[in-house]
Amino acid sequence: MQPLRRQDKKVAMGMLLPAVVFLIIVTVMPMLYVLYASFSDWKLTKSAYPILTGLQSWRAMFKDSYFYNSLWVTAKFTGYSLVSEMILGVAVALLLARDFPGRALIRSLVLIPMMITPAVIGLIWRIMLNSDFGIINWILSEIGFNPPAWLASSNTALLSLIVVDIWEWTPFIALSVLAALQTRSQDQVESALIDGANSFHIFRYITLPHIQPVLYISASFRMGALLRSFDTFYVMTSGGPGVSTQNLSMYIYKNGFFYMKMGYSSALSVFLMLITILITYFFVYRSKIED
Amino acid sequence: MQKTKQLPIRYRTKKKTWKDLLLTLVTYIVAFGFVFPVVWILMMSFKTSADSFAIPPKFIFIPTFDNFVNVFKNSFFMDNYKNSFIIAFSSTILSLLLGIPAAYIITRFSFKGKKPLSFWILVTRMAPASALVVAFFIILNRLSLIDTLPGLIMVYMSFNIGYIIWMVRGFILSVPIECEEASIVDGCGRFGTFWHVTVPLCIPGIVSVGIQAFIFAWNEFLYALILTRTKWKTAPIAVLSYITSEGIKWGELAAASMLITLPVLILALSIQRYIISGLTMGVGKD
Repeated sequence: MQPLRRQDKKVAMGMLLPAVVFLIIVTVMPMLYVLYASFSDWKLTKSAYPILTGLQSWRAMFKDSYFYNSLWVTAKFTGYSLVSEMILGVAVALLLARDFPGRALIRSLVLIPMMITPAVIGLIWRIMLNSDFGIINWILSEIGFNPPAWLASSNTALLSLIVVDIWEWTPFIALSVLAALQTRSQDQVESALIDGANSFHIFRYITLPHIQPVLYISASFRMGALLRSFDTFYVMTSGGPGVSTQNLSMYIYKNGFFYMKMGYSSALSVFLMLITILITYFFVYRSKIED
Repeated sequence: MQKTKQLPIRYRTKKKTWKDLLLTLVTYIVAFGFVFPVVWILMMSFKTSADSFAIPPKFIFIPTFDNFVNVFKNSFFMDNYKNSFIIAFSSTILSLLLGIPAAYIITRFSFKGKKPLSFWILVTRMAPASALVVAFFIILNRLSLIDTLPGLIMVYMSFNIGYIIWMVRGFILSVPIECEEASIVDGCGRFGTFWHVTVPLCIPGIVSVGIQAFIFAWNEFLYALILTRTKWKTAPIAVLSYITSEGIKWGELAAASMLITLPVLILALSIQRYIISGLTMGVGKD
């Protein structure tokens, strides 16, 4: 890599600046704007501009039980989904790494859930989970269960969303891990076998250390996405029943575009942004983008 | 990175046992689980409403094209479907035009503040839409850009440029620096080298990144939900209008969902080997 020489500087600036300036306009400016608006008491029903009132929104936020509820929903959704996706993802990767007839086809098929438009995924599962004619409840009652109305009960709505997310994103972990598995040294495995290692030993001492960086990175990408998830929530439950699936994104949406409380919605937005930046920083920046 | 042979991994080289067969069976069941929901809705899109609601569910039925015909006749949905194409395509092209040159500079030059700049570009991609949408709504509202093509393209570029810069960076890194040096010695100049040497060598990668950026824009939901009203509504929002207060038109809902899914599936399967590294933006692949 060459340092920037003077005669190149103009060309380089001309190539770099348009993108950087554009990104500042469409990301930094909105971020600063929500930060500014978070210090205002701003209801769209009253005024078109934020009127600064200091920490009012922030104070209200930390006293708001619905805010804590949305944090709790977000945490449960993120935690359960992430752990399940990581474990199942590794398991599926190990399955797909084996030699079996139709490998190429199966790998392509597994790709499908994570590529589909999330709004459509929400609809697909709404149809399948329907308590009157959905196929899932039909199967469950055929084999002797008494299935609940998944999305209509506050006990099972979040669980349903978690299951859908696992369905959608386990393939992502699985295929990432699979790619890493293919660069695992076969010699090492063979010499371990000669030394009498069993498949658990091989997994624990050779495979796991080898796929660890990939696990780390894909987990941090998943975590970022889980914290901000919105689409399937909106399509499948809209935060209900009650507030049982009202995660942070949903609560931001409702405050901003339902109750028109822009100031309060902005404070919540800043909070979500801070969490995301912290997580991105700890997981991605500190580990892997050294040149 | 150490390159080993890309052979299927086997823990043992012994002959097939019942355990192997069992694991293969489990693999097929798992794959079936990932595909079944999509297949089920695909079947539903060809069912009459009586067949869709049948209990027990019908796996064998006489297909009807009525649902698709009705969706094609629904000019609102088809307009929104067309919008999705226009918005996703134009935001992708513009993002590539801005992103590729920037990626080149970030990859091939060292300058003060490069690392924080790269990290910031990465963060722009991870920025939660739900946290930015309030600001976008207010800003576009002030500029009278709500429900307009430029407004939506601008917002979609905000998440695709960072992605493109990071991915293209990876492809540029794999271009041998000697090629570029030779071109500079020949007097091609910096930009000429970039344009005539580096970009052509990266074309397969650029195409795959472009396709992924298109898919991200196509799949986007929240911005389209808030920042459009009628004229520039996109397909993922429009499909929800099959859920009305009088009831849900299930067959048409399924048919419209499949129409939204179709381009994504074709595009995704055409570039599948790039998708995985794409989803983590090539981080950790250096």
